[in-house]
Amino acid sequence: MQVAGSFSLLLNPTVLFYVVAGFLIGTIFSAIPGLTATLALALLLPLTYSLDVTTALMACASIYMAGMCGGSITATTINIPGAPSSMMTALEGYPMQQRGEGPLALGHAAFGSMIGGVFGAVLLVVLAPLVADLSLLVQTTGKCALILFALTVIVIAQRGNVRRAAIAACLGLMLATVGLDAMVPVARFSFGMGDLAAGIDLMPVIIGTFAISELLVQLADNDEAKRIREKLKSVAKISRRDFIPPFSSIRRIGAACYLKSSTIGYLVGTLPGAGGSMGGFLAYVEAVRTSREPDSFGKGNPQGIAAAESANNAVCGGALVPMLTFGIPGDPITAIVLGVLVINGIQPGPQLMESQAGLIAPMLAALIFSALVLIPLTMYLLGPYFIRIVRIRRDVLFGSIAMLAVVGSYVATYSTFQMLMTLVMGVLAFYMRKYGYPVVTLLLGFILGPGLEEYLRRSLTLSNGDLTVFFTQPDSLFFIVLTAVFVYFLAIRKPVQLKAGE
Amino acid sequence: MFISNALNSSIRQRIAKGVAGATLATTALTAMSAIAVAQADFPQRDIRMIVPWSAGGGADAISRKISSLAEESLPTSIYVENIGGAVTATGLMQLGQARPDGHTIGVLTYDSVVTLPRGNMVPGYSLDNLEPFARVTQEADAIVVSEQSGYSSYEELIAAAEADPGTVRIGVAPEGSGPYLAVRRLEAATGVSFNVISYPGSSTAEAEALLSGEIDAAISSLGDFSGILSSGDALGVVELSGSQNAAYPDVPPISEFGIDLETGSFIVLAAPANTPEDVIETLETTYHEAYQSEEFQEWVTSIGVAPGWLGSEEVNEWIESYQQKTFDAMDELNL
Amino acid sequence: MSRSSSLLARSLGSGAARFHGVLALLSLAYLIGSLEMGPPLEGGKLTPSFFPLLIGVLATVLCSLQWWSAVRHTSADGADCANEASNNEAPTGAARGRRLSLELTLMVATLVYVLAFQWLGYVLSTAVYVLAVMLLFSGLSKWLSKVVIALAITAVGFVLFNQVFNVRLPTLWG
Repeated sequence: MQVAGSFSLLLNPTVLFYVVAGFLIGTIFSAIPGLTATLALALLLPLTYSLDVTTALMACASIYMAGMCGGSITATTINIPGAPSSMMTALEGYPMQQRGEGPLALGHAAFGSMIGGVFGAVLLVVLAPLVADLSLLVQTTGKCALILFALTVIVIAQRGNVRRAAIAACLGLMLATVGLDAMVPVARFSFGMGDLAAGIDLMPVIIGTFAISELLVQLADNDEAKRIREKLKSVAKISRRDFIPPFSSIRRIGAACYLKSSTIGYLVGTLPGAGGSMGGFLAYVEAVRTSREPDSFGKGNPQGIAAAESANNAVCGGALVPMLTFGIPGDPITAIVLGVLVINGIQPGPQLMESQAGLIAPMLAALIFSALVLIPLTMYLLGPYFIRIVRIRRDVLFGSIAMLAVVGSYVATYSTFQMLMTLVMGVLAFYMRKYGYPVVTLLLGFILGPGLEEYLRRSLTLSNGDLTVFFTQPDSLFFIVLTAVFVYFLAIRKPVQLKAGE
Repeated sequence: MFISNALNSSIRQRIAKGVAGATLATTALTAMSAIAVAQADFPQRDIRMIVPWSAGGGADAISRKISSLAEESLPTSIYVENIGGAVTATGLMQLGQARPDGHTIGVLTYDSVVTLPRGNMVPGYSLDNLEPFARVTQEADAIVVSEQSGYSSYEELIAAAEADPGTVRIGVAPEGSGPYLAVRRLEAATGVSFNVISYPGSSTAEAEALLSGEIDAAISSLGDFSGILSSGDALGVVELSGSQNAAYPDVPPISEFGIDLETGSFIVLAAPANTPEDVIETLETTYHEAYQSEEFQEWVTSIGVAPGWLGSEEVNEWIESYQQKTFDAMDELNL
Repeated sequence: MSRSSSLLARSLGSGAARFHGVLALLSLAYLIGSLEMGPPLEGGKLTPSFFPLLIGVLATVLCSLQWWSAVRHTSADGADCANEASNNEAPTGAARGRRLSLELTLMVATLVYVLAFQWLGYVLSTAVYVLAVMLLFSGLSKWLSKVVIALAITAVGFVLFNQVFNVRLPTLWG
């Protein structure tokens, strides 16, 4: 890999501008409760059409990294996680804030994010050649089983809500079958409409499910959000000096805690459907379990913040592994990054890391750069102002988001029909969210559907119609066994329960 | 200044008839003359080039390259918009609906000319809405074999398929595509049968399958497989053309084996139907100049694609006969 | 709300149950559509209708189960289950009605914007739409300053797309 050499790209002012701008936008979006870095990326996605691919991917990487730590700002100051990945940070950060140690909590969050982010990204780079070699062993039949595994895990990861998640995944799969069949020249579910025969573009689904539905949800929650804004006004001004966590406190947390949490985060990241909140949660639970004084957690123990934040940032590195090697995204952000690749005609696969190293290496470099440099720098320089940024006028904010979303869907497709699809998807996603369906599952179903169908059909052609091939091929047998293991541990035994709704 | 131009054009008589009184509202005249000028002084605005598949890949690169060379001799620029979907139908339907003034042009390929009209899959898509004005390149498909398959020549491949019918796995683009038809025609011509596996999307998936040994052979252009050909993981055994490809001297044409099976992909430029003739002429000469430039010729050969110009006079006839020939072959095989 | 829909509401239970029901009907329609596409297997190969049939059956079964359990839930303990899925459901009926109309207004405004976008051009349609969204979020007070802000957002969007990212937006003048 040419990652080391790619750092020089960051010396280019244009590239650096996009990376830093991406990071700031990602941080601001994840800091504002309700908005996420995913939304930021969905809104900016149409712009990547006219951007150089390498630069676009680098900006994506920095938004991704920013999205995992920006949420800790409101989590700490007003006990409302700005992004789901920071919900564990709120448990420890807010008590610290009440003790007057808010800046210190944020400092710990930033430091943990930095360690975890760098760890995950470096692990990704170091293991990339190995992963690429291993992934060549996975042929069509194995890929079919792998996607089945991914979809199963994505669905059962929604604990307590598995049936709704399964429905959402099915809806995604159904939407993906609209349009021309990939293997035989016939149109499906087009109802004689030329526009539908072309199928539903990925862009309307992404912008609809994230941006339009968010607009509707925010409008519905307008009064509640106004209260949060009022609450933010009462937050005391933060002094910059308090941000830097003292060395003694970092030592008390211990290198082992950082390392363990980062590893947990990375591994969780490689699993489909898990994401930053799951990584942070598991690392936090592990930190409490192994702590000598478990009672101190929940009352403002910085170790909890360190564990959760280093884990959720390590997720970034892990989550890129299945996306780059198999084109299987595990969370919405990697799904959108996959979109950037597809728009530019780049096919993810085992070959990607080698043949397109010039494209992927800079992205990984940006990932490491944003973790190592931008996280601490942003927190230090802009930390005192973030509370004010988060209090941005809601009508201005959502007016701009509405504009970006609709115009973006035009720019992405140049088609009024696909713009209408964006609206339809947004309304569907709004009602799904209202009635407790996970919309991310719909998006992942939509993305994974065509692959699942293609691999299934091709597997059976390759084996001349023999179904047992899924059990006789070692690659697919591996994933089928893995699926069974996950179903057993996650759905049947039901070990740790995620606190629902938090 | 507009009026004198307008009077010079063919619109003149229509204006004279429509506007009976010489002193009639000047606004109407200005509006009319705007259209007239669009035809007389082409191009007036930047030209929009619809490439009906997503960015990246060889065909997109060729369209962009020749357009960027063509715009050098124009007062305005040519900008490319990738509108993918429905095997080129989405973008080309937009092209067909665009104002036929030459400011919107597009690119056609095998799918646009054969697959879509044949399958009649997309309501509203028709070649009649388009006015092709040039063919730029033509690229033959070839059969490559995986190193793991153990075959090293075309004869070995056919012999293996003959000895054990239906076991030699050959990867092609899906039904309706050129390579799919090619393998069916090859089966008919040689009397063997393959296990035909479809790989939708780009040929990257076929390259990966050749590499992992999932398939024994694949059909696509040699340029698509240049990576694994040069690394030795795959071997080109025959090109489906009637003459030797100079860029690949080791790969014989299939005509050497006494089989008439020419197939491949091509790039055709088109404007919406009813675009005025003089505008078409301007476009054609502009692109022809770009085509003849040394830069284009060198670049296109370097990526392993054969340049093959046909002007607006010949291209329509060529498309028709190509379509007819292909449809006949499909009818024969009941596809 | 009309009388017929309130009747429907009573027979179908809460809004959640109604939504599950709509999804179940959509899945059923999808299933019927895939049945009409022909046999799922032909000559030992999977046809284009195989996969849709599979998901169609799965989705229809799951949605029906979801709907049925919601309906049963409703008849068991009345209107409570409206809150079963989401905790952001409105506390009072009046506030809920008002809020629903706000969301519907936003949906309709977006629909109008999408339809008018190419016809009216970017500048005019966007300015009106952004203003509408702003008014929905913050009410009619100080509308003049909101008009100015809406125009500014439109201008920033134009510069961003047209100048910085070289995208051609539709314009009223050609």
